[in-house]
Amino acid sequence: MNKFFFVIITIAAAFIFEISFGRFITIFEVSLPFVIGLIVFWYWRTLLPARFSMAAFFGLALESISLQPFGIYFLILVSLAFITDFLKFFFSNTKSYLTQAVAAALSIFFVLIFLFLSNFFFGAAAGSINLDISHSFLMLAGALIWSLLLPISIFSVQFISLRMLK
Amino acid sequence: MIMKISKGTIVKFVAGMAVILLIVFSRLTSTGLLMRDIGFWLVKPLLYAGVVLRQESALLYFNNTTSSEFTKNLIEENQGLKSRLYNAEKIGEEVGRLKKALKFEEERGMNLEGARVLLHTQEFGREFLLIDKGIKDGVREHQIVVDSHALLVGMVREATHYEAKIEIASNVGITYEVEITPIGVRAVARGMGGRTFLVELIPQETPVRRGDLLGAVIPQKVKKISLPLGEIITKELEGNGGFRYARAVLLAKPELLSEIFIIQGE
Repeated sequence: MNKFFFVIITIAAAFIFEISFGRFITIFEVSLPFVIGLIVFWYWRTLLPARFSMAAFFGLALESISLQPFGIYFLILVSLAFITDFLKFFFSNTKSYLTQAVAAALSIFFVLIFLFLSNFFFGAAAGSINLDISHSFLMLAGALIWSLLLPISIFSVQFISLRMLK
Repeated sequence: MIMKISKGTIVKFVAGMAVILLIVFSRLTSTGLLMRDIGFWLVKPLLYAGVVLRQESALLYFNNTTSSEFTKNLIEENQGLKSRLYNAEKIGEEVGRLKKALKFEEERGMNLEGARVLLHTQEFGREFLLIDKGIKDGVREHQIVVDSHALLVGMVREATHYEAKIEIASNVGITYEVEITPIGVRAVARGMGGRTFLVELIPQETPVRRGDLLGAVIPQKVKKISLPLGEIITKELEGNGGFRYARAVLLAKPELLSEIFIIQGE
């Protein structure tokens, strides 16, 4: 099967899971970023042009169900396409599962922090949001915990399944 | 490190960047609306699949856990509502107001547009609903949204041709002028997120009690309408100045809604 279609199918499945049950799974009001986690996972395994195609396609889909200002998801996913290259270069030992998990955690945290800041600044500009400091810190903590939990889970499953296959 | 980049890759890169820039800045033009419509059509089948999955899983949950804590809470809530209704019957004027709120469509001639809820979600504490009605159905930004019991749910934050997003009334930063029932005092309810409100500017010595209801005063073209918004949960008022404040919770349950009604005017 064409890899791009496989990527679409897995992300569509993750999307259905997230919209059905994601709201039950929150940490400090930050929902499970399952789709973002999976996009990061596939970004790590594709080249830059493919990542741009993914950014355009999934960005368009995510924009339609978001309260963020239009274009934010495109910007995030395009930035992430470049950041993935940087991380691959920076963490040169990309075969190591631990390295991949750390890089994925950084990527997911980047997405969540970008969303948080855009929510904060654009919302404040529109007069529709007025976050207090303690609330903001809690949500940042939620974003950080998800950033660590998701890649560790994904790469642990991959690591264990590969070990079992051996 | 020297990278060899082919012409094809450069063309793809430039084309990709052009598309992305067009999308990002299309907000300034009518193509922004078109882009959102395309995005919605892409995810629409998945949203409907999500609706079916949520309904089926809810049915399974209710069938398998009839004696669960959730059901107990529902029964208790139902009893509480019955008790409140009984008390309301006793105090005539308040029940009249409540009946008006529940049957406001017939009595006040409001024009309502029903819509199906496709998604309930939240982004960093901002809860919202995605519905299957948009500009082509007469939905506009800032229209007020209620549920089937006429409880205030929120307002339309964004509308495209085929969908609209409803921001929940208790989201952070959203403020309503409210009337506290039964005492009839006006105050301000400020959304705190997590379905809670901070009710401010309550005059000193006002006998506000736990369980008092908040009605949001919504200005319309001809007159103001009052819609049930929240319930006071504070036992005693807080604050020492000329005004005091209390905590309240949202009456509507956005996560359980499958349909909502948009008030389109008188």
